[in-house]
Amino acid sequence: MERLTTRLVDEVKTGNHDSFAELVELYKDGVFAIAYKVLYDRGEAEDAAQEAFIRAYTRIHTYDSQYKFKTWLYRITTNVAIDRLRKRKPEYSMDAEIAGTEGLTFQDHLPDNTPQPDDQVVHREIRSEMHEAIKQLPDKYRIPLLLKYMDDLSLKEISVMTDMPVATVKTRIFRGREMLKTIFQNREGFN
Amino acid sequence: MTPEEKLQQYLEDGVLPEESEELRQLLEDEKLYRAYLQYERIDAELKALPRPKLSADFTSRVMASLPDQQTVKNVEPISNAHTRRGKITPPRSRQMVWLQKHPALIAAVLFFSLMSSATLGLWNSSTETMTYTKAPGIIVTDNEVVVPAGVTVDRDLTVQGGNLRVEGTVKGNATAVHGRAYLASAGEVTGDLEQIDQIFEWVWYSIKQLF
Repeated sequence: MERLTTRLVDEVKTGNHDSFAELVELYKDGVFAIAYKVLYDRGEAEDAAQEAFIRAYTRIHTYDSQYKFKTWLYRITTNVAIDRLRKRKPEYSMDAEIAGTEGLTFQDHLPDNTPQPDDQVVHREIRSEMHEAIKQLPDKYRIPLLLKYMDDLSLKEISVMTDMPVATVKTRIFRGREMLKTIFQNREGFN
Repeated sequence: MTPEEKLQQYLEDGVLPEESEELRQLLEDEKLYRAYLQYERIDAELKALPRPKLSADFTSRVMASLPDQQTVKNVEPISNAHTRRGKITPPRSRQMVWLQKHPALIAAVLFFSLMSSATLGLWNSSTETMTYTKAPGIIVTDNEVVVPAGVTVDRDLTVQGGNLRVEGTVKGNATAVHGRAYLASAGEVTGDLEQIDQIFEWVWYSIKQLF
């Protein structure tokens, strides 16, 4: 894989357009998975993955073959995804805390129109509620939590990826789960 | 660690036989028991999170949106530092890099250019008026300095912009710049008698004077 990558990168550098398509095929799933963990939205993650590949293509001459191509590409991806996360922040005012209240958001004022549980649908319903709940978590809790559950990474591995001490990663995962519990406790149908 | 964090820890690492009693005691508390069940469920839900898939046409869409080859070739190579933390430092030009690699050479070039401009400046100014080393007993005319017979100068004697005629004795070097140096048959110079009217000689002379 390493040697194939090196050959493909060299070909792209000399102007071979088609070799880049092969690189995309090789790395698209990894790039998408990283973007998804940061953005937690399928569509946005796909856009970010596309942008990351375009950026890698236009900067291919700056890639130093001394380092792993994968590491270089994943770092570009993380940067693209985090940029997008920062830009969209204001759109999330629905989740912003209402001034003068403690932990109460505009979201809480919306009528709860989830259908009343009927045993058959409960399970599926909660899964999509889980998706909504994860979206509400602050980035610093959501990203380590998703890395743990979606990639089966150990605390040590997450610590390396996110550049945080193991103890911090652990605290954030615990805190993230605790917040999820609080969110669910406020809903009917979750015991 | 709060009791709730303990529960999470047990869920994470499993329960060792010696911890089972502690867990049982914690779970006797009705509130903690409910929390334990909820954490168990959250854990299972998180493990079952769907892994979304990329659209099938992803690769072809990426390829379609790439800038054309021509544009790419015109893109300046940028160092890896650019991608780090979004900080942008303009790329150094090749000349700047070369200059930074050879500081000693730069210093030498600067030294010689400043030295030579100062030296050449003096060379040009010395043609205008006559200057000379002052010494007792010498006779100075318009464009000539004469050490008369019987007079002894106890030091180096230099004349610029005029002739030097030695009829007596100079105990040192006698130099004429931009002029001629004459030594009469009775005259005596214990050092060198020099006549400088070439610019290279002047430069060499100036450098010798430094040491």
